This record gives sequence, C-alpha cells and structure tokens, in this order.
Amino acid sequence: MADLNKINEIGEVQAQLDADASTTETLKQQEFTRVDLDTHASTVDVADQDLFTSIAAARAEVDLFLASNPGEAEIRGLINNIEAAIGGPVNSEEGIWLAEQLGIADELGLVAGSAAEAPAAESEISPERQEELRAVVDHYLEKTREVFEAAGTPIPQEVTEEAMNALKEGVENPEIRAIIEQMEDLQPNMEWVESQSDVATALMGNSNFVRNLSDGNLAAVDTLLTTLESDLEGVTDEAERAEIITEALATVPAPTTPDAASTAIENGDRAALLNSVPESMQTMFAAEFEAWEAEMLQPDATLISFNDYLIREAAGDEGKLRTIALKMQLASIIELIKPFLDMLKSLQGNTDAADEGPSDEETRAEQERDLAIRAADNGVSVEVQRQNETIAAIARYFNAPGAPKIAEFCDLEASPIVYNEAKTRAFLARDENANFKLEDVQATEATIKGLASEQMSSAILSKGLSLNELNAIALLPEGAITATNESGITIGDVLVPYGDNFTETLENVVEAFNEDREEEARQATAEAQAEAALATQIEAGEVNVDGIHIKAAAGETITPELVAQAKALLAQHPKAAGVFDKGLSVQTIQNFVNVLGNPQAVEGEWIILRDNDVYLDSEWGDARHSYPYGELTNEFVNNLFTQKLAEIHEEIND
Amino acid sequence: MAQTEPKFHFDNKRKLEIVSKFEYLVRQLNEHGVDTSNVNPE
Repeated sequence: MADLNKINEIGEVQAQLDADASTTETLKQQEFTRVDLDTHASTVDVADQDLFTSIAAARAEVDLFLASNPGEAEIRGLINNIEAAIGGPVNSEEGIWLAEQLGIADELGLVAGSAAEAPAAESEISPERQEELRAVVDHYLEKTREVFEAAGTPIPQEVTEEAMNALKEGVENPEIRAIIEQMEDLQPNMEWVESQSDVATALMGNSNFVRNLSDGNLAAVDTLLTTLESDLEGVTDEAERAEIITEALATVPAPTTPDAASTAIENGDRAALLNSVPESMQTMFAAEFEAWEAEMLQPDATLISFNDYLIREAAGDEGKLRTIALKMQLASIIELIKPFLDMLKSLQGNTDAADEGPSDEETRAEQERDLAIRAADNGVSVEVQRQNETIAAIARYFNAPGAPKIAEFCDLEASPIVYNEAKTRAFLARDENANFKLEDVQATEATIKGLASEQMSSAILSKGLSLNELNAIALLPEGAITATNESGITIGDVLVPYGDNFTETLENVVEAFNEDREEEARQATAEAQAEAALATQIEAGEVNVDGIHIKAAAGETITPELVAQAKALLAQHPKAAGVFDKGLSVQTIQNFVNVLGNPQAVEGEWIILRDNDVYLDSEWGDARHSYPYGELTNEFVNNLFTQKLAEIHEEIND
Repeated sequence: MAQTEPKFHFDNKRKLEIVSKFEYLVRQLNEHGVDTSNVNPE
C-alpha cells in the first residue's frame, strides 16, 4: 500500500511516484481497474439513479483529466479535490469509497479497512509542517481579531483563542489537518483580495460571489480568485483590469441555494438578509445594516440603498474595503471549521469557548425583549411599537434642524403617506431596482394632485395608503375620479373601497371606465365621419347613405333634414326601402316622405308598402292600384302616384 | 450464513454529496488547470 501521508507532502510525491513504477504513469495510461458499476451496486448499496449518474459524470471528468497528461502537481490537485470533496484525508473511509468509484483506489494504494490504520500514520507529519499549520491558525485568529475589532463588531463566537488552540492541538489528526490546509489554501486569496481594491469592490458588487460565499461554495470562490490573480498579474491599466474582472465575474457559477441573500441585500430587508446567511455572517451583516440605517437617518445623509452602501464602503474606503472583503472570507472559513470545532469541543469536553458572550440569536432575543417591554409600557402591540419607533426615527431625521429639502416633501403633517411603514422602508432602500425612489414618490403625489381637486387629493393622500396603492391612483385617466369619501374613491359612478383588494379593484374599474370612454369616443368619431361624408355627398348633389339614395334634379338641393327624415321613416317601414333606394329626386322623396309621414294615410291603409310594390287602396273608389317599386320614377311618383293619393284623400274628405 | 459487515458506513445521500462535489471540483480543475503556485519543488 502506498503511503498516502507521503503523497500529502508535495516534496515527497516525486519520490513516491518514481519509486513505484510511477503511479502517475499508471494513471496517465488509464490502466486502472474500475469496478463495474452494475456489479458493484450490490456491494456499495448504491440504490438511486442520481448516484449512478453522478459517479458516471465524475468518472468522465477523471477520464478527461487523465487524458490531459497530468504531471505530479496535477495529480496532487486531483488528490486535493478528493480531500476537499470529503472534507478529510484521502485514506479515510469516504476517500477510499470515492477512489474505488473512480477506479483509482488500487493506484492510490487504498483498500477498505485501511482507514482504521490511518492513526498510525499521524505521527508521520513532520514537526516543521505541524508548526506551519499551527501558524496558519494563529494567523487566522490574529486576522480575525484585527478585522472585526477595526470594524467595531463582535468577533464571531467560533473564533476564540481556546477554539483556535484546540484546532492547533488537533493538527496531527488527519481530518483536522485537512481543514487547516484548506484554511492555508484560502490565506493567499484573503491577502491578495486585501491588496486589490478594484477586485474587492467588484466582488462586493457581484451577487453570485456573495451568494457563493454565503453558500459555503469555497471551491467556486477559490477558482475565481485564483483565475483573477493570474489574469491580473502585471496588468496596471485600469480599463483593462476592469474588463478582466468583469469577464471573470461573469464566470462565477450560480450558487446552489436560492438568492435570498442578494435579494435581501438589494431590498435592504434586514430580517430576510439575516435569515438567509450563515450564522457566522449574521453579525457582520447586522452590523453593516445598522451602520447603514444609522447613516441614512442622519440629517445630512445622502440616501442610498443598502446594496449601494456596501459597494460604496468597499470602493470609497480602503480600510473598510479590506474589512468587508476579509470579513466575508473569514466568515466563510468559520463555516469551514465550525463542524470540526464542534467535534473538538465534544471530544475534549471544552464547552467554555461556546459560552463566551451572547450569540447573535441571544442578542436579537434581547432586543426583542426590550422592544416588548417598551410596547407594554406604551400599551401597544410589539409590531405597533416597532412601527412607531421606525416612524419616530424617520421623523427625527426629517424634523432635524437643517434637514435637506426633502423635508418639504415629507412634511409629516401634510403628507401622512410618510407614515406608511412599507413606504418608509422603500424610501430608505431607494435601490435602483426597487419600485420606489424619492423621485417616484414626489411624482406620484404631484400626479394625484393634478388628477383631482385639492380637497379630493388631500383626502386620498391622508388615508395612509401604500405607495403601490397611490401609484395605482396616479395612473388613473384625467377626470376618472369623480368623488372621494372616507371609505374609498369613486371612478365614474363606481365606488372603489379602500382595503385589501383596493389596487386590483381599482384596475378593473378603471379598465371598464376606459372601455366606456373608448366606446363613446368611437361613436363620436363615427358620427363625425358620417356627417362629413354626408356633407360631401350633398355638395356633389347625390346622397347614398344607409339605404337612402337621392339624386338632386336641376335646381334642387338635398338637405340633411330630408335625409334624416327619410332614414327615420325607413327605420319605421323597412319596406319603404323599395322607394328610398331608387335614386329619386329631392322633390319626389319629399313627396313620398310627406305621404309616408302622414299617420292618417298609413293608419288608414291608403298606402300599403308591400314586398314588391306600393299598393294604393280606397274603399270608396275603384282604386286598387299597384305600383311596382322597380317602375317608380320621379315623373310617375310626382304626376300619378301623388295625384292618385290626392284623389283618394279628396274622396275621403268628401 | 452470517451477515457481512457493511464495507462503508455512510449513506447514499452522503455518497451523492461527495461525488457531486468532487465532480464539480475536477471539472473546475479540467477547465482552469491546477493551481501550482503553492507547490514547492524543493
């Protein structure tokens, strides 16, 4: 069996590989004997397809790796990856299992059961190397203290001297050693980032990087920093550096957890932020958040979002830049070592380290208790107390002597909308991506005042509506608000009550309101167009609209009134179409209109409009006169038809 | 026949976690190469 502890020492890798017909050569030639996945399944109790798929993918990557003709350093990198994946030495139980799956266990001299022999190898780490690793822990402790003390924030409870000592004492333990070696690997990154202000600024502004850190995805972070360090070496031109950094950041993999942390940062949502980051990072973010909030409440503050605040801190103050970047790195190491510290404490019965000072959770609990006491003193609920304190803080800001002109807008008495908690938070956030900025709020207020009378707009603005609701009102068309009262606003003739569904109801009502107005507008347009078309036809001496066809004879003028009369009669007597659509003269149509418009003639059935003809009847005379529509002419109508009607009329009158 | 002692004492969830992480790391290694800056040939 190959001595893996020797492999762990880079300087001895060469001798090991050379002496043993070269493990490297063996791996290069892929002459390893992999256990067939199907037959191996029963022995390793591999039950689910995901695991098979993952093993196959890992093997494919190893194949690819071996095909690249790896040297000793690369082989060492592969072993490092095994150790990183299992969080311990390669000759542990998990390391052996993984090596077997990859088909390289034999080449690495790993057999099941060898893990039990591992303790015997512990003593083989050289005293010099032990000192180096202990120095790494000391350096980490020193750096942690320096950074957190400079920032005025409590040192994470995990990083106590006792805990660090326990870590150092465990340096001969392979599992502890592997962790310290990972800390060692991260150390150059930390120092390098500390020295590169533009890189640190970019990292702080990259949500994927932050999220990877909070996700504990140190491999991705490490890869990024290693690539950046290499690519930026010797590059001094700022634009060129910025381009390289941008390109590198674009390759940062998306983290495996939801982006709750970055969303919370962008929204300036303290509670969500603290819930979405590891415990060891909560103190840091809580402190940053409080610093930001305190700054925003200063009378002369320039309001910026929490996200912008973090970036500004990184970009504008090199000391703080280092602090923030390092704190994030240190926090990530805390995540790395925490399980081992827990293990050590358990083994050594050393619980003192964990008991020193209040935890973040305890601090928050204490703050909540204080808040509850103040709420009880004031006889209000905790939530109301919290809101009142927020409002009071904002009020102090706006009412402070020399407050900026923003106070004019946020006159607390005249514009009660500032009291809305959601609005207050949005106002404080003022994120580029947030829905509300100060300018938006001002615009909304001005718009509402322009939409409604002073009395109505004042009533709306004093209701304490959220900005979402106010924005929905600001989108109303002019003239839509017809009234306001205590319970809601009236759009047209529909009351929209304030309440949970106000915005949605308002949108629906406005939609209907707009549809009505659009229909009215369409009708008005159509009428205007029809009038214009009629005028044109009248001018030309021939009208042919809506079934009314009139041709003006010489000297005649068609009038809109005649057309309207004809249209009205046609609507009453559809069969009159047989007369009206013949293109008769003005005089003829006027005569016909006179007859058809005579109730006596119609009701007495002197004239009957039939399907194909006009039928003139008289019970007194011999009249049974049929005049087919197709034969109607001006002459006929005027000389015969009209005359006949006159005769009938005369007979009746007699 | 006596039951054989399991060869490994961790579950499939842990195995999947290990393999997934390793696969990711080797892929990074393949894509970016190994960082040899810390390797001391001495």
